[in-house]
Amino acid sequence: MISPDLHTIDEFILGHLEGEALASFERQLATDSALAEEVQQRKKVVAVVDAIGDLQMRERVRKIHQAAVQQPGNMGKKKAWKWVIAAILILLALFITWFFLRPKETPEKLYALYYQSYPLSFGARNLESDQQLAKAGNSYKAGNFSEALPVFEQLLSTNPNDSKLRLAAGICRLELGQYDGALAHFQQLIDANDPLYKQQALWYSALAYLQKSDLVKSKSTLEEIVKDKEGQFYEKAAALLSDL
Amino acid sequence: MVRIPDEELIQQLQFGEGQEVDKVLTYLHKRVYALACRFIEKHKGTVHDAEDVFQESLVALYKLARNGKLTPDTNVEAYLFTICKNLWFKHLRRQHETVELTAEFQSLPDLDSLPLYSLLSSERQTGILQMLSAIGEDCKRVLLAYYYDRLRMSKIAAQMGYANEQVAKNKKADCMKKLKTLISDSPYFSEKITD
Repeated sequence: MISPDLHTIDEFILGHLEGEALASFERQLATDSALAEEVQQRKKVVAVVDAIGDLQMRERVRKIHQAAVQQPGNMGKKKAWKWVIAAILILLALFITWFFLRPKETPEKLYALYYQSYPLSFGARNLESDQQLAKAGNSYKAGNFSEALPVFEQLLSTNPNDSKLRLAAGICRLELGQYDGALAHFQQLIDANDPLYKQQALWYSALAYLQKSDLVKSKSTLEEIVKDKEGQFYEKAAALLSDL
Repeated sequence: MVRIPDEELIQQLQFGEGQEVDKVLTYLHKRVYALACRFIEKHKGTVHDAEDVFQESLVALYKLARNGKLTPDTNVEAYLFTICKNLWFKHLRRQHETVELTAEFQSLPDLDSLPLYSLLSSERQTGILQMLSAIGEDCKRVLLAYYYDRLRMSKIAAQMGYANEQVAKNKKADCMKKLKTLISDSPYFSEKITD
């Protein structure tokens, strides 16, 4: 029997032989030990070529993978979306931080926005002290607080429980930029718990603290005011609170 | 993305050359990789594991196609995904992980009989590459084209610029002899590669 040529052996190893050609080869393989040995040796060589092929193919596939994940449209698209979402979240976080921590109006501007001098009038009667009071009241109305203040405080020394006088003295000091003095008057009014003047004392205290840039005390005072929804300064206090 | 029919995918995987095959592999990567990634991440794996296993699965798919194991009715995307799942479960078993081999695992006998050498140790890879450089570039191309890519001799002759098929056959025989001698002279590598 003629031995198959080397190419036919390769075709057998690769599974390319079919039909009678395959059957004939297998018959010969069963009886020809030299052929069987050649087949075994060539299979070893084919395994080495296969291994080389795998390594090269893996490198090709690695390049395909790299190109694919870098392109928008596959995983690149997914990754791009992740970046977009991350960017949106960062921007959102920055906006929220800015919204809550943004420098709102300065205390001075808020004070200027919310402060209004409290209208007080003092009628003149026959007593000398009443005439002094009326004169100081006129100074107060005219915005001449430096003239009005000594009179109010002098009268307070003899009438320390006069809430109207104390409020007037406090507002004068507030107008003159003497915040601690103003706060001392307002605190006495608050402590006295005079229902006619307590709300005014709280409101102007909150403004005095605002001018002192003591926002914590200003807010706590305003929170005290907004507890009374019927109070005279409820709406202003609520608005100022939201601005702080 | 325009869907490529399975018959065309199989045709290119089995008989295509160079860039034709790369295009199909790129297409399949786009279609299946994200799915495979999710599957592996869901089964104790990482994205890095998914990258490795998916690339290995593409190599396996290519080899199966070249060995004529894909039938004309094969759903190539589903088949690739199944290869990927199988290779991942094999990996988990090697790591002694307990895995449920119920609905997720679909046995692929063809895959079980397919040797995949790309996971060889670097020592073995070095040995192979040494042999490769010893036989020369033309021999490497001819042997790979015939034994690995399973191209017919007529195509190899055309690719290599040989006058005819017989010249290609002779070149292949000559290169095979060279490699055979190298292997017999280096039984260490032979054993390491083929054991």
